[in-house]
Amino acid sequence: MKKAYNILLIALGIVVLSWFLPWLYSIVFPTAASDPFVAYSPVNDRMIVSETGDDKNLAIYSLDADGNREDGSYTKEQRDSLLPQIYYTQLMAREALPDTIAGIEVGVAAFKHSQWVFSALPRDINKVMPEVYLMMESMPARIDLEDPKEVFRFRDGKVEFIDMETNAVIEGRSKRFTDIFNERGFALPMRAYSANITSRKPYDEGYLMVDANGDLYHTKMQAGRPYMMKVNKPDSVNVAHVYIMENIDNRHLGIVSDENHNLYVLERAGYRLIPLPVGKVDPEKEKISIVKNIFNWVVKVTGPEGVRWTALDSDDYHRLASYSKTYTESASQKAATYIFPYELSFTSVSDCYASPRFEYFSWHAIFLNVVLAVILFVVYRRRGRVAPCIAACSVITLIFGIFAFIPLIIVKN
Amino acid sequence: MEKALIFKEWVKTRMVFFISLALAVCVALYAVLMMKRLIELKGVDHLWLIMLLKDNSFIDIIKYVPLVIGLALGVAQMAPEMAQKRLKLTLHLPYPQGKLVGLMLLTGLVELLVIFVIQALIIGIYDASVLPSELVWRVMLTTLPWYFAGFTAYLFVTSICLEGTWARRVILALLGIAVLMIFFLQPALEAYNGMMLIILITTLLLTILSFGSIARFKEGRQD
Repeated sequence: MKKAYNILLIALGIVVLSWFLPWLYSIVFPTAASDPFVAYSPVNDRMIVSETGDDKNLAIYSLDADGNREDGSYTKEQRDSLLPQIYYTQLMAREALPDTIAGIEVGVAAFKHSQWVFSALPRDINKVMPEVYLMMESMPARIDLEDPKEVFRFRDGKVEFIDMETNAVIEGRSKRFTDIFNERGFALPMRAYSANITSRKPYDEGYLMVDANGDLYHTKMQAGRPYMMKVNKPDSVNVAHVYIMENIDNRHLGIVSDENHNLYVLERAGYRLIPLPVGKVDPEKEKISIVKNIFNWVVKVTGPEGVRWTALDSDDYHRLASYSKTYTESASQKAATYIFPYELSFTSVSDCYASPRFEYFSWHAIFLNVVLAVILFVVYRRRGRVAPCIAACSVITLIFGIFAFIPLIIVKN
Repeated sequence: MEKALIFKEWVKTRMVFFISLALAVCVALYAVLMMKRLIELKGVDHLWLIMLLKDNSFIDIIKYVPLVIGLALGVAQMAPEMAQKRLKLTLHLPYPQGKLVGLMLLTGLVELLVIFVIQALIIGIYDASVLPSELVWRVMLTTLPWYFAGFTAYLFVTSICLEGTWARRVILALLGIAVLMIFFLQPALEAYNGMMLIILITTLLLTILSFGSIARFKEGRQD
């Protein structure tokens, strides 16, 4: 029992220190990375970057077609004129807003009506979702949208609607929705879904749902009756994640990603699924944000390694320009790779789960591990430990480094 | 002999057991009353909306209660053994030591289990009357790591109390604080679902600490 006690104490010490020491290190030596603001100018057809440098001064410059910085820089006023779709209020104040830009008639109303922002975080999908789903009425009798009064769930291959007030199953609605799900060929279990449940929006489009086969469906409740459409798509597209959009311009129904990490936009008219030429995107690991205006989209994809921007044409989504930036390790992060052989964490910024994750394995730490193992070897010999114990503890220190060295030195018996 | 030993543990802990039970029941009833109040003021659909859209379980108030109860029961059961030097006497009873320590721990763990089950039943039964089973399970699974934190706190406290040296007590206390922090790192609902097996195994292994402390005590490692 005593042996088990000592092993447990050392094991707990290693686990706790593997988590605690890197965390303490990150607190003592904080690192912060800020991304520049990147937009695409319809005036000079260049990406315009606004970046705060190490000297805390704002630098505004343009990029060439290959994403390289061009000579010269701009003032804020020049940037206003280059990006009228963003700084139109400034231009209006200076009476410098042109009537047409790139052959398109513009004005404050046109800018406002055509702009929206989309954002999707890995945390939004990497979490345990409730298995009941709120359903709004898309065609309310009083025109204004109301908070939902019903939820639905999948049970025994059927759709079951429950009245929230009574917590009782609504038989008629359940049957009607079950029938349409069967007619459209929806295969359970549902793989992914997206809905924007709020009455503070211009209209309701219900749910985008992905079935077990990776097929995409649009479902909503209109005047209490089900509406369901299957989106036509190539067989090669196996949908993984969906994000519904209910923007004021009414053109797009959602953003879709497939299992091969391609990104698509789903247009409302004809349920057209159109690929976006932004490279591979993994919504489970990368943050996606889209800033759309009358001229273009700027799609920003932020991952652990770096960030990249792609400007797309607003009409046909062809690529206009792209730019990427790789995050570099700070001196303290580099130093950490020589101290810690790995890092243990129980939470992550990209999900809402608690689970042990061993990350950032580093071979650089082997040098410190060897030194610590030798010190431990000498100390244990002086303490008169038996040879197998010395050998085992030295090997453990060689593997777990400082995380094992500290408990093995402190726990003397 | 077993009955006498269990009775001895019961005598030591009954006061704290009933206070803890009252605390657990009161906090659970308070959480239920808060939900009832919300339903009366804004309707039951408002409760559902907040649960589904804001990821609110309405039982955050009970979060640290099992932890406090685990600490209190551990101290009430084991501190008198050390403070009044009764442990030596206990260890000289004509009964196998392993079984003796096991029986002491089992008594405390069962008392905790009773308190936690009663509290969980109050919340679960009320939730089941106003919510669908999916949401009831969601709430109950969210509370599960908090209850395991209670067992873990109890097991660390017993090992600290039974330990004879202050240096080792400090090490055990620091380890205990760090391990208990893990149970409260992620506030999202059902965040610990994937870790429950690890938590269960770790909790079972932590019983070894008390046996180890007793073994060290018998070897004469005392300050």
